Amino acid sequence: MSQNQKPFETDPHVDALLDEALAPDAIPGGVPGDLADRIVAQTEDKLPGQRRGVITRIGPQRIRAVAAALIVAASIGLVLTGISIFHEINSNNWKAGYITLQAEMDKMLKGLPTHYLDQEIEFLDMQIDQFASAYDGNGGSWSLEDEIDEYEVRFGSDSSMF
Amino acid sequence: MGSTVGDERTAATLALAARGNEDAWRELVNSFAPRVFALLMRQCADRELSDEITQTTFVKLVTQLKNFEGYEERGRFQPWLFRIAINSLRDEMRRRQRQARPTDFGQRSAEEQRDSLETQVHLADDHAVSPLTQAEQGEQVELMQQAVARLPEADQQILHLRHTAGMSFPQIAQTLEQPLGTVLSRGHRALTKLKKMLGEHDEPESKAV
Repeated sequence: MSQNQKPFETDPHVDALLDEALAPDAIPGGVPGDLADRIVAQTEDKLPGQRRGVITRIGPQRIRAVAAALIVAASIGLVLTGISIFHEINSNNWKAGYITLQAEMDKMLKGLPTHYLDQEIEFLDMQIDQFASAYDGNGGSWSLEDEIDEYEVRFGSDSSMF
Repeated sequence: MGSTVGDERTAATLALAARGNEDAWRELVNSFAPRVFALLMRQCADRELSDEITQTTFVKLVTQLKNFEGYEERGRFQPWLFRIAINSLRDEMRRRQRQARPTDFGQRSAEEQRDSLETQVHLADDHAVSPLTQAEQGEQVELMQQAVARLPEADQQILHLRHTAGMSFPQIAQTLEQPLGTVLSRGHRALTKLKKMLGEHDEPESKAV
């Protein structure tokens, strides 16, 4: 209130009468008795901190159950696919079996993340290099002979008689 | 009425509710919902609409509640809450295009104002010989309700916000987004008219707000 504003004067008797005459309970029919309960029921899940994420709402146990069910379903799918492929192979339909196997492998490869495939290719490439370095390329000389020589030197025994 | 112990409790309850405390939220609803409903009823005289708008008001409040964490009550919460209620009612009444009682001061026609003044004079004549202190309490309350109902809408609104919603004049000014001086002047004018209607010609024992 500003300083030059005249203080508002009230009449205690009129004020008390107005309080009673205009009280919430004095309205025709009164305030609905269940109003507050209905509002609380309608709003309590909107309180801060009550908005939980989907995983929190579902709960960890249910999540584990869903994950287990998915794993079981995937396993059954793999087993059935395998049975189908071997059934075709056993029925001497080699070509069909090979095509089915190829198709399944393609599907699996498509489902894999690209970076995973790159890693696998690099790993295979490394293994091939290791294999090539262990092989002399003449078709007969294995590193096994080097290993035997090293063995003889280490233990002082001559195996040349063999 | 300025910042009071009640305001401080409201602030503490609000802060708790803003952190998700269900008991605090229930206390807020129990404390304010009846007042919001009653105020709306005074404005529109429609129970169903008042009920609906009261619920809407608290849904709006709960969605804004997180903003009240660390809130310092300086008499601002109640004006905010009741303004939401009044504005929601106004919007809904406009939407429904109902012929409900207007809530804005100055919306009544000159004819309605004249009729109202004539009614006030008749009421004052009827009760001038019957001092308020001599009437039974129930009759006094009834007379007061009748007298308030004959006031201009804007004057009624001031009285409803003060005595139904329980707000101070500064809070009423905030709620109506009007200067405090205007609200005080209207409040004073409303009381003067009431006294005239109730036949209280003697100067009452007064106290400053």
